[in-house]
Amino acid sequence: MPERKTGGLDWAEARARLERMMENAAQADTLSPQKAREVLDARAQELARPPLSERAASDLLEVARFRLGGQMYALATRFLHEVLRAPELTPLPGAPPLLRGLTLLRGEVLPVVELTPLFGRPASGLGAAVLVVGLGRAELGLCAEAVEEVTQVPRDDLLPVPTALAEVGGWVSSIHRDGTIFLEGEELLGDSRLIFDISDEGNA
Amino acid sequence: MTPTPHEVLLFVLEGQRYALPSADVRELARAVSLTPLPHAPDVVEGLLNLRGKLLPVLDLRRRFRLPPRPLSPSDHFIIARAGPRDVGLRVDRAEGLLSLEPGTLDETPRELPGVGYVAGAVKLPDGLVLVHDLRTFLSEAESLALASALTAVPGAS
Repeated sequence: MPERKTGGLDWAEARARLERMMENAAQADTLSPQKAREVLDARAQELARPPLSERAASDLLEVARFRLGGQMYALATRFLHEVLRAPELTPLPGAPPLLRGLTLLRGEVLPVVELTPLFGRPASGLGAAVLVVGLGRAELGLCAEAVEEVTQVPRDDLLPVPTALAEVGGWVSSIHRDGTIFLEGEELLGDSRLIFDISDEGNA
Repeated sequence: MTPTPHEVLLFVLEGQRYALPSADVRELARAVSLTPLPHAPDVVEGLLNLRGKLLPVLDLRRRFRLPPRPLSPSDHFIIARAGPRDVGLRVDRAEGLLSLEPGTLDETPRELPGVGYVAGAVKLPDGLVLVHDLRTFLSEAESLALASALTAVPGAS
């Protein structure tokens, strides 16, 4: 397979395809009705809980838990904007395996990445859902097989990062007792490996 | 002496912006599942359990004659004071607080058929935004029907 830079991407083709995706993506809801119901039910339970003392509230972390390549991950909900269900991805020739492709989110091009290569595993190629993450705006899409739930996790249940994972960078904040990898959103969004120049001139 | 600028909470329904006086707003929450409330007026979408307190959630789409849409996880609830009680309002998106410069709020109250009184209209660069007055949001009849429907539910206010 010849090496091609993103500069050699047929942008006219890509844009046309993104246009078509836009038309297809007129679906307002990004979750299946059943999934939506589960999310709403879970939130209703959360909201119905009597107030915890202030100290206890600060010991809870609200996260979205998602599955990818047989591993559970969690990300604080303040980084999560929305979840797209099976968005169409436009692959980029010659892109790093991390970058699965581009998708369109309300007219903005959004790079979509898969985290598994960062953990030294091959990209699974799976991903029925994309978590749209960012600080204050949609910056990045993360592939996930499924978004399991949004939940509040007591910080007491979190363990320090084992040394084996410490080398993947600062964006693993901790490990839950059940094995879920908790991601550090700010580190993740600031990681140069996950910042792609998708302008016409860019050679990401 | 400059009058204190009013503050309003902007929210969106079907792409249209509306506002509420921020003094009436208690809290914002992401949408959650609701419990149906039997015998409640049509405008009541269901009951919300907010940390043990039960509040009626009003469907603004119905009130503003917008096309109905099922509850979605992306919706927001605005918890607000409506006269004698707290209610939840389901909106597509709560946008945030806006401090009004003096002179941007036209306080000529006017009655909109079926919507009750509007506290005023805010002139924003991109158009007019109506500021709703929740005290008159429910009609007398709806308020009574809601009160009696709520009395049947233990723990509701």
